[in-house]
Amino acid sequence: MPGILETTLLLSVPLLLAAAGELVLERSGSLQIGMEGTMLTGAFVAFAIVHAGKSPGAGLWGAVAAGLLSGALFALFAIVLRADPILTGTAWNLLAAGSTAFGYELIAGKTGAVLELPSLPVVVMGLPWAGLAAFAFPVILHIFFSRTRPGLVLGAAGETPMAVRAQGYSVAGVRSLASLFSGALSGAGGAVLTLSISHTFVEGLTAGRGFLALGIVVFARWRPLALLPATLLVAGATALQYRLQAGGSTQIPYAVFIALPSLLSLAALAVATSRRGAPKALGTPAP
Amino acid sequence: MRRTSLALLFLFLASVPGLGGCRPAETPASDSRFRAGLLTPGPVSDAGWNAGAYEGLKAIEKELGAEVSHVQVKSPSEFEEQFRAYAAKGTDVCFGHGFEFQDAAARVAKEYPNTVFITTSGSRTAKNLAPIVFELEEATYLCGLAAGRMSKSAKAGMVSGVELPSIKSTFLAFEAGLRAGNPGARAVSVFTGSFEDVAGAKTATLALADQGCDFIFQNADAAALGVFRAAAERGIYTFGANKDQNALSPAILASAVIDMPRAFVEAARSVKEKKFTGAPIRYGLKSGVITFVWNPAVAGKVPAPVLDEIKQVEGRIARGELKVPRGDF
Repeated sequence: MPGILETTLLLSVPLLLAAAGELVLERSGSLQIGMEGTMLTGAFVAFAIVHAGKSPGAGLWGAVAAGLLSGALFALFAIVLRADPILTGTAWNLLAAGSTAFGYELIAGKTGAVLELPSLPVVVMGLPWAGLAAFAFPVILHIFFSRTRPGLVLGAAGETPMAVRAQGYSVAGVRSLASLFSGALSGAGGAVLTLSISHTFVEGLTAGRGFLALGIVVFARWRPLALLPATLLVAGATALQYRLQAGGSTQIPYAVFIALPSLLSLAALAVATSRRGAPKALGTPAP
Repeated sequence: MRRTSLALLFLFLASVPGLGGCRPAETPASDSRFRAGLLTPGPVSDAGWNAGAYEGLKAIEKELGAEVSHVQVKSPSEFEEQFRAYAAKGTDVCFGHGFEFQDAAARVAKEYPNTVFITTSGSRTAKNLAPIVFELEEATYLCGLAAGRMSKSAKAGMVSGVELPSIKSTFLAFEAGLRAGNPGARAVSVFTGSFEDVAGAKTATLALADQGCDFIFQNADAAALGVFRAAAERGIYTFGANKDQNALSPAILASAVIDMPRAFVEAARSVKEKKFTGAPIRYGLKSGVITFVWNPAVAGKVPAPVLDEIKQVEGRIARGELKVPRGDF
């Protein structure tokens, strides 16, 4: 089947970026369920910048900056001010959905016009360099968490925050940095979705990919290296289900195909051997 | 306490109109003016199905001097709530844009006899409830016929978000047209689960192209942009649906068009002039509300016999000599 590998790799990129960012944040003990909103914001900002005549590269960096801002916003509310992270994430998703729709209306007019955007330059296998970076992150993060001091401190903030505090570090500070990183990656994921896959923006463009990335982190059992197979399985199953539908030889209802990525993830989770659980202090306020 | 109230403050900010997820219906200013409301299932920036409805609403505002309001709704629970909100504000006519609105409209219509509810597609009727049935199938049949005559692989694809009866029906007619053009041709449908997932619709179209499809019909609202893009990348043809989308891409061979402003204004006028009877309002090729429009950008690439045949079949459908199959809904 020609093209299925390239399709899988390309569809993996936004998921992988968002999931890698979220994994770091969750390993630090915080939890942001608003990645859908951050991706959507990144997708919109990339669109707005490129539509204004700037290069796709500028669009990508703009989306990263927007992601950093949303990471800072989340850190301020949920980490520093200790608002409920689930409520904060939910509110962020609503705010992002509404404000990107409003922003799009300002740019494209009420009933919209289709605006084809230039793509990020392709480096290899249909992937832009941001796509290649996405595949490097799990490896980098694996080394970060297992071999570096900041990585160990960050991981400890999510397991035994009191110990981190006793060492003289600010747990809220560590988690805020993780939130910035997470926001930046989610924003970049949104930019890739706009600039390399969709080539346009519509309201709700992310179509649940932020939540899918949230699931991938759990599916990978919070292990960076496991993000790769987990994401490739989900994206591969997505690419495959379109092909199965397009094959058109069966009488299976299409809903079964659409559910295929989730079904496969659940099945893989059921037979997974890793007993690693969630970070022990996940979702608790910083001491 | 502080944690929850902070988050609630944030949630409140998110609900501010213009910033938050949904825009509430505007409060009417005067009492005597004719009022029209519209519920769309997706963003009106889709350059298709929903954009057409919004243009219809604006036409009602302009031509009937009505006070108009639009709201985008996501889930069936919101359908009923919003219908009720409009009716309670004294809206004279309330449009639910799509087949999926008819159950909610039927329930609310019983409670508010002074508001007329119109769903675009559907079959439920009452004294103050009727569907506008767009017989878009008559135009999508012609799309299929063109694809059948011109396809080299004798394979066509169809892409949409969710298999709604109204969408299935346009696919059915496309397929019938395809077979009329080439009895050996085959059509395959792919659904992505979302009318906003541009990336999904694009991936679906690429998958169809890889299977050898060289014509893709779509009825996917905003996600159609992904279909157009993929078709352009692969050098295959696609079709516009619901609105004249020809200008959006040179990959679009023709569009199956609904003149929604005209249909919306006619329906609203009948309500305003108290002529609304609750009978389904049907529009086909004959009425001129439904049209089949070749894309001028690719006009030179369509063989003359195909152009002639389409014109002739179009006439036969309009005169009622040829019955185009449509779904039973």
